[in-house]
Amino acid sequence: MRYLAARLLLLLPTLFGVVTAVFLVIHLIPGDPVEAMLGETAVAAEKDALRRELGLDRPLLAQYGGYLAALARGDLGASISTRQPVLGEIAARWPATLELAVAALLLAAVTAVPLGVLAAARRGGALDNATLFFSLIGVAVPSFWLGPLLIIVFSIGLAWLPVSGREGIASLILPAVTLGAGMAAILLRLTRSAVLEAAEDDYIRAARARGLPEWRVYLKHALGNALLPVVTMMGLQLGALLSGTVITETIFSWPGVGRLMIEAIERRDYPLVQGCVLNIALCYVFANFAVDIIYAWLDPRIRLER
Amino acid sequence: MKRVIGILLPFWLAACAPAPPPANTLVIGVETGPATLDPRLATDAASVNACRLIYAPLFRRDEQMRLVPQSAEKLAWKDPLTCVITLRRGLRFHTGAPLTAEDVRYTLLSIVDEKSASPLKSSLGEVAAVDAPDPFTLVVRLKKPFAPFNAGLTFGIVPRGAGEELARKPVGAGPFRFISYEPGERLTLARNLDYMDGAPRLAGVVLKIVPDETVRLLELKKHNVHLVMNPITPAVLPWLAVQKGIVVKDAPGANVSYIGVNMRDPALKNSLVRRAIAHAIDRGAITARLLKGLADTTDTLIAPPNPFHATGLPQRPFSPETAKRLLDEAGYPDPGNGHPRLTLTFKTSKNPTRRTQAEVFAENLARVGIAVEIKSMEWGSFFGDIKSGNFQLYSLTWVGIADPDILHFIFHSSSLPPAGANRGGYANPALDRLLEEGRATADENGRKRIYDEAQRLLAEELPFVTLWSGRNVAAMDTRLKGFVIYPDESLDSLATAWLEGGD
Amino acid sequence: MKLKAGLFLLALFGAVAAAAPLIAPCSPYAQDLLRGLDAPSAAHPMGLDLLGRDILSRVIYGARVSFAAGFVVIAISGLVGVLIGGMAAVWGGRVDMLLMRIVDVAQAFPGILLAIAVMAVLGPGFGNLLIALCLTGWAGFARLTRGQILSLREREYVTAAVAAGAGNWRILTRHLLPNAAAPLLVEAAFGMASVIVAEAGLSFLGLGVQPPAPSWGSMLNEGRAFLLIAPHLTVFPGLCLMLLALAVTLVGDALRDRLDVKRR
Repeated sequence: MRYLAARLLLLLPTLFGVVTAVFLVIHLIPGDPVEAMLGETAVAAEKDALRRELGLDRPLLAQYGGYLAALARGDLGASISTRQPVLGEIAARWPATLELAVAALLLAAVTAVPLGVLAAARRGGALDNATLFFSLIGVAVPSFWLGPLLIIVFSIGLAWLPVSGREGIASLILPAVTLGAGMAAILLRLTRSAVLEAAEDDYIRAARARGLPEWRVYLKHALGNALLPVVTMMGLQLGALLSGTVITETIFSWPGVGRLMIEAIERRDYPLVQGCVLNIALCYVFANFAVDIIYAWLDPRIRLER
Repeated sequence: MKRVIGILLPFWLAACAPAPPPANTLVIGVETGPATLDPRLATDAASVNACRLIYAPLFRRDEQMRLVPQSAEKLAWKDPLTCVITLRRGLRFHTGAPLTAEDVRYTLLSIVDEKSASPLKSSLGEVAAVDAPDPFTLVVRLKKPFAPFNAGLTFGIVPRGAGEELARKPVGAGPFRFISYEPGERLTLARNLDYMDGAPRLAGVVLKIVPDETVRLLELKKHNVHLVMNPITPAVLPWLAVQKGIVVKDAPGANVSYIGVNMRDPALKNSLVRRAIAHAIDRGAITARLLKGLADTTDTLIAPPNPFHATGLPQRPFSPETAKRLLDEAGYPDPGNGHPRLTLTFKTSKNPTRRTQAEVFAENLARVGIAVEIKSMEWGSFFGDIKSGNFQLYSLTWVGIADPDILHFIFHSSSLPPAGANRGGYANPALDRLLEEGRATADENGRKRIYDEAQRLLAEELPFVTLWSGRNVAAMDTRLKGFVIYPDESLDSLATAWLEGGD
Repeated sequence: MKLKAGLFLLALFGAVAAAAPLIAPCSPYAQDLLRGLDAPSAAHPMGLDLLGRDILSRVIYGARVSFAAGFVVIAISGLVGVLIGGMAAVWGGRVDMLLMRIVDVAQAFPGILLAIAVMAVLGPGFGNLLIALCLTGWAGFARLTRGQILSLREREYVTAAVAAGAGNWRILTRHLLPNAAAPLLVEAAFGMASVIVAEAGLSFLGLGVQPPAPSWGSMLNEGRAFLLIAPHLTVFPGLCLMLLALAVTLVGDALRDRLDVKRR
């Protein structure tokens, strides 16, 4: 319990770091939200007025202080381009992204881990080679190419699944496969290699020597040990997964936060970008917090150390 | 096992599929969704087009870009500073509330208000006062004559008192009323049965947001979407045209692509160099082969469909020889050994079409000895650089040019950013005089003469290398009838269009 | 066997990249608008792109970009990541705390925004592209290294070394890193393939190599609009990407077997 509390406390500096980093990055890169918003036909006086209204005329440090103070009150500010509260804008899009990311993660885990164990058990066999090929496709085919290919095969050719949009479970399948393919490939190879490594350990040899059937050896002992790196990888891949939603969401017309963030970056909509990044960072940080907890549970030594 | 899944999968998926939209509802596939549904704040094309379906303006532009009355019945100038507008009778907002001169007054004042962030502000000149003596009469007084004022009366009318909530819950008097908006997903509209020109035949319009072009076209092929407009990659059109139940149409557009030139640059301030660039670029080959004929070369920003389009301008035909001769004259002789005469940087956005065009420009210019380094940048950074004058050459498109007063905004010496869009820093007193005169001249024929002269001057001087005006393309379901492609991509004709077999 | 096949493929790609000007049948920049999108033929085995450029020649030149991006980015971000992760695990305590918070921030920060920021501040270009990719890549290595070492350091041979009075640095380099190498190599192998694909992803967002220079990623992106009418634009660079990924994966797998210290 104390470990839990201490670990939770550790999240604060990370979040503070992310907030500071995003503020600096977005304000240091060239571009002007007022220009982007008012368009070209506005005159200078109008732009100055809007800049004052948005507080963009203040020194950077004052803006940063104001942003932190508002954040402490739970206020993310209002989007510059739509004039709507950032929290509402993100809340409207977040469920779609979460749904997609979780589906992709689950899909990757349920295909990759069993296949990885099988590949390790049948090392060098036809199945092992087949999974190698499968994971190659997953890692080497960019999602912006894989997505349209899947649509052409499954939506146009076979007419089984919707082309794009977010309408029911069926529309989730292709985007989840597209987003999860890369992660599945990495997980598969990692599971295979971790299981093989564990299989060389003494206690597994002992289990084998005791006459346990091979599949039980792999399933119970080897997999148990292999889970540690696999779980780590899932946690740290989540960041890439959430960033990857930008492309998948674009291709499948998925109304998520990834697209919202890219549009906000283009418009230099500072509050909205900050909100999106903070949201993604929060999710990532909590997922890794969960990983750490699972870690401690899988490997009691880590808990004892602290 | 696999076979069982193969058989069951489609059933399970079918069970999950949502109900199709009601028959006779038109679904349009669009690249981006509207940022706002408040017509006073709309800047991007998506917002402007959506607002036109929901709100009724005083005047609108027809398919020939002429101003025609919509909510207004007539307009009269009592003197160069006083405009009297008479409204049609019996107009109603979607809520049922009557639309009166008070609402128009409110809308106009909230646009020109000092604190307003409306991009439409400068299109109305300097307004001194607005009165509504009776529910059907509006009197606008200007501080000084402003000829483009009439053209500025195309803003959508909002109910008096409307504030920021309009951005997400719009109420207008246009042909379609708002049902719902899921940002990033779809905008749903239903027909306005009380519309002033009669209820639309379409039961509703859905703007389905499909950011990826290939996917947009596949949705059209599946007939989940009935209409897709530009941008469509020209090379894909022949494929599209042979798909069952799809027809492709095109019409002249009001958008003009150009190469922007920095007049402060030591090489580019020499008009001979700019003329050499114009002669070096093979516009004919690009429009014919790359754009598949979906663009008409033009030598002025005021595109051919516009009544103010000038003809008989100085021509810059493709001629590498002329370009080389001009560069010799300008003091950039061929150094030999394949070395370039001149090296320039060309900035462009990340848009694949623009990047490809930049590659062709670079190749064309290399042939006459101008080495070009392309810098393709993310939009915010690119546009930031263009505005701050941090470029040598760049390429962009002016969208929806209607009134020729835009030339004041682009080329007048007082229009340097951020006041205007004279990004290259062009300054020519003769042109300045013409553009000021055009602004103060109310007589149409007089204006035409002035802007003809201005366009001739610009084609002579080339502060822009004008390339072509794109044709607007629409790929649509053959069942969609009565749809008209407007030069400014307006969807106004949906008020009378219909889906065959739909009603 | 795997090692040989993988190294052979890598050497092949390396040779193609190095000798590109000698073996490319055409200039990768020569345009012919009249013949844009032409299908593969005897003269142009991979066909022509939208501007009528020879795709085979562009694929050959593109190998340079993809190859360099993969190696440089993985080498730099791998080195930095392993060092930081190793330091965090071995020194522990406050060092661990501080370093892992930095890793957290780096990983929680969306890579795309970072890439846009690098390009916006430093300007677009190949070198800056590599910087952006390194900035997002190192943290994964750091975290994985730390996780591996934490689970290794309780093993007998490590505790034995500690008992024998070996220093932190020696334990890290002699005992921990070699044993943590297997998953790191798998990560590096796949990481290299991901970096090559990430370059393509940045092209999708308009931040990749600058035109007209070819890279497999940008070719895939530019050909995407023609997926329906001219699939040859994307098939060939896509296949090359897969083959290069296959090569690094084979090498990674084989090295895993060789470096397995416990069997030695």
